[in-house]
Amino acid sequence: MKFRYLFVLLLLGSPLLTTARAQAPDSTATPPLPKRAFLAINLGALGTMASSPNISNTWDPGMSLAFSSSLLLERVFLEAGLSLHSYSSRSLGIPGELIIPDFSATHIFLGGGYVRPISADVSLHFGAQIGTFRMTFDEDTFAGVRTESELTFTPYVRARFAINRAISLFTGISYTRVYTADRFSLGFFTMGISYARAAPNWVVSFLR
Amino acid sequence: MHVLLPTGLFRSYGKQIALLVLGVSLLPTTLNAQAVQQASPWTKTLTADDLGQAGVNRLSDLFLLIDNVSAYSVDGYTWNASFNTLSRSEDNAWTLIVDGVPQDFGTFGMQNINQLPFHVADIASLTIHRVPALLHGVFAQAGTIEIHTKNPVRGVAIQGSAAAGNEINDPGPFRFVDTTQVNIDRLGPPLYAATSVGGRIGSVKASFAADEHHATDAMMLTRVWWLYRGIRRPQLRLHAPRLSIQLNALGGTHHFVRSRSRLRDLWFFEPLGLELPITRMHDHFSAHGTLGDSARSFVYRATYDRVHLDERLNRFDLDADWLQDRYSVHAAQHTRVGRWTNETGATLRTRQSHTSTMLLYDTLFETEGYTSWRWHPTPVSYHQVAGFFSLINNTAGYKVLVTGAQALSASTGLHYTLSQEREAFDAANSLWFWARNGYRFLHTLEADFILPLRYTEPQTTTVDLALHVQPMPRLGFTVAVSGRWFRGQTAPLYTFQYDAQKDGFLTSTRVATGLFGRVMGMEASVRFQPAAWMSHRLTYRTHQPSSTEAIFVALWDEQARHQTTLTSRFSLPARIQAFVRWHHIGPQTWASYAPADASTTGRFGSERPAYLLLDLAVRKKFWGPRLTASLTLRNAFDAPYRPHPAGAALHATLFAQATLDLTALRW
Repeated sequence: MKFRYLFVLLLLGSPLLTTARAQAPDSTATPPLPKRAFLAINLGALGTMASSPNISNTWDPGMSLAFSSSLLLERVFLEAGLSLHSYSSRSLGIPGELIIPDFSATHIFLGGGYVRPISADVSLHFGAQIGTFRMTFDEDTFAGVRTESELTFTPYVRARFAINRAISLFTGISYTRVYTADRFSLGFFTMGISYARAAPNWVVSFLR
Repeated sequence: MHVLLPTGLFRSYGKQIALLVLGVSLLPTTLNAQAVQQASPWTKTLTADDLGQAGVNRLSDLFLLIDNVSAYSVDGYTWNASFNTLSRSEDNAWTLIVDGVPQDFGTFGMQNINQLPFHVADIASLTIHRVPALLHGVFAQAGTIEIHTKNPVRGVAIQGSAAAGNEINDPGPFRFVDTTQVNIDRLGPPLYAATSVGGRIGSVKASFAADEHHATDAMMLTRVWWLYRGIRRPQLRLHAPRLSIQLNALGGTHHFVRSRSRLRDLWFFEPLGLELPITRMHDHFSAHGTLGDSARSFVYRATYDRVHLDERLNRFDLDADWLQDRYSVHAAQHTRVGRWTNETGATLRTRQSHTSTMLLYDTLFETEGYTSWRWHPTPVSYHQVAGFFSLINNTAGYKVLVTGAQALSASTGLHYTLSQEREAFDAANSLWFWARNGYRFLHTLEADFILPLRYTEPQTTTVDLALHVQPMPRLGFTVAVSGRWFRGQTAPLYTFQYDAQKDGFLTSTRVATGLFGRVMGMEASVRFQPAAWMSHRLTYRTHQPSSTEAIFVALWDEQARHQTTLTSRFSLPARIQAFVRWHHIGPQTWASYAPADASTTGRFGSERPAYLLLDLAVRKKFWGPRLTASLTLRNAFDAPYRPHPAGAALHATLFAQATLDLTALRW
């Protein structure tokens, strides 16, 4: 019995205790990442400017928050993040009326885009995200099911104003298309703050 | 090795074989290494990197990567396929070989590649053959997928993969506004974990694969609920553990594999016109190995497969009540003398069927002997002749294969394959064969079916010729023509009437036998690599069935007559890879659904329109080769793609997959 535990420990622990062998050169090796890479953390608030009638006739959007992390590689950036949204039902709960519940949504996305500098302190970011809009309802949609996820596509543009070398403010607009059977669209106005620093070596080497 | 030849057969066909051999030997033998080195146009090898780049999540995604394959699925999980018009898609007659062991897990024409007990992440490479071939002692007449799993390295290795897929068109919040909307829900997640320990004397590898698929499409949901009973929404679930041991001993390499896959299935059963809840169990044990050296080697293989169609919880306690034990022993000797290679071997198979009612005969014995001669005038060209003689329960059959490649000039190569097969009726896999021999399941279901008085012996002749021209290193053209002559074929002819009560079908089945006809085909492709980091391949193929029997042509019209694909691969900076595939599938006609089509005003349309599908995949490697993450968008245009009249629509789907591969860790 002891040997069995020892074997399992050895099996699981060996990757941590040992060093990996040298890897063969990658046959699909391509040019390395640019030397100047910055890692930014962005925190923003989103306000819904417009939404499709099928949403706005039935639900009122609340304030939304977004968090993302982006990697700036000279004129190109990659990002991943999530935003949180809430929608309250306009249903008055009148007897005989359909029960339409509130729901909250978490939008998880990956994206990237292009940076266009305007001046030393101002730049425009043009990007697109692909993601999933995970909705959590107060009532079951189907027996035992209260969540649903759906594909999204979001093009956006942001202006970024540098306060100093590390901190900047940003503002922008975005358009999110959610691919439910009845499609709906959400238009957001965004404001937020961003903190950037040179990407640590381990991040760059991990990405390489 | 002595092979008993039925003298009558030899008298009938010996002259034809001799002429074929003579024809081959008279081909010009002006050899050019560069031209002949071009792989056969019908053989495609995909490495693990190719699969990862294309965003393959499930093994059935392979059908998306192979040109000139017609595949369809009712539920989006179980795919039937036809390679290069070698057989009808419904027959699912292609062969699957894993690490040199033919996989014998098909039952009643159903052979679900997703039921295999391993994952895409475990594949080192795979080779697809789209012409008849002799592979590991098997005459694979209808195309082959040959999979090579990753060999354990010395030391400890850990592998893991997880994926999640989401198909669009869910009701979302609008379910509360319009309660008639049906949920489509997610696909998967396919999960896989493996660990191995390797050393000088061998290795041990243990793995576990799991998958889920939801059968909730609007086209099938009511049908599924008719029999399905469960707490969860209808879904297919796979659990598949596998253990493999490799030993380097006794002057050779020896492999032992033990696996079990359990698929809780919802099988669209045509004779009933409904999805049948069923549990498919496949137990597999194999021992195989090689002894000797490159001049003379001896190959042995012993396999045991148990295929069990077990009950899955359903409203009427239906039980397919079918179990088959399959034993197989194979031995072959490979000899190389100068430019000649000979392979001579024999296979014994036994299939023992168990069901609660008496079968007319429950055990099938199959004996097969074969010899193959391969001539290598130079290291890069070859000509091969192979002959098989088989005996299934005293019914004799034969198979002949002539294949090869020849350089015609510095930039031109000719490839050819001819085959002929005449066998006893496919007893291993055919529901209709066993229905005739006392299997009572169709009677239990009160299915409406008519069997013929006797089955004819199928005979198939195939000819494939291809010309490959490569005027520049980065540009190549291939033109291939094919001919198939079928005689004595047996096929079920269904008539599907719409049944409003179960939103499904009332099916009547007549099993036709003695069908004959021919299918002529043409394929043209161009491969272009404008830069080292990108390549494109454009392929068009068409086929034309013809017969004086309208039934034969109608059955073949279920495959699209025209298909065009454009596949592009890119290697981008920061080790990002991208894959783009456009696939145009021409219209199809499923005549058996015409009555249901008429009464539902096209909902179960028998005339399938043409579709344009776009698949996109992006992959990034992190931490050396150890961690890969990929995003795959299938059917990006959200074409209303329904490959089968009664099946689910396959909407745009986003897959995210992460794979961890720690395969080079020292003790």
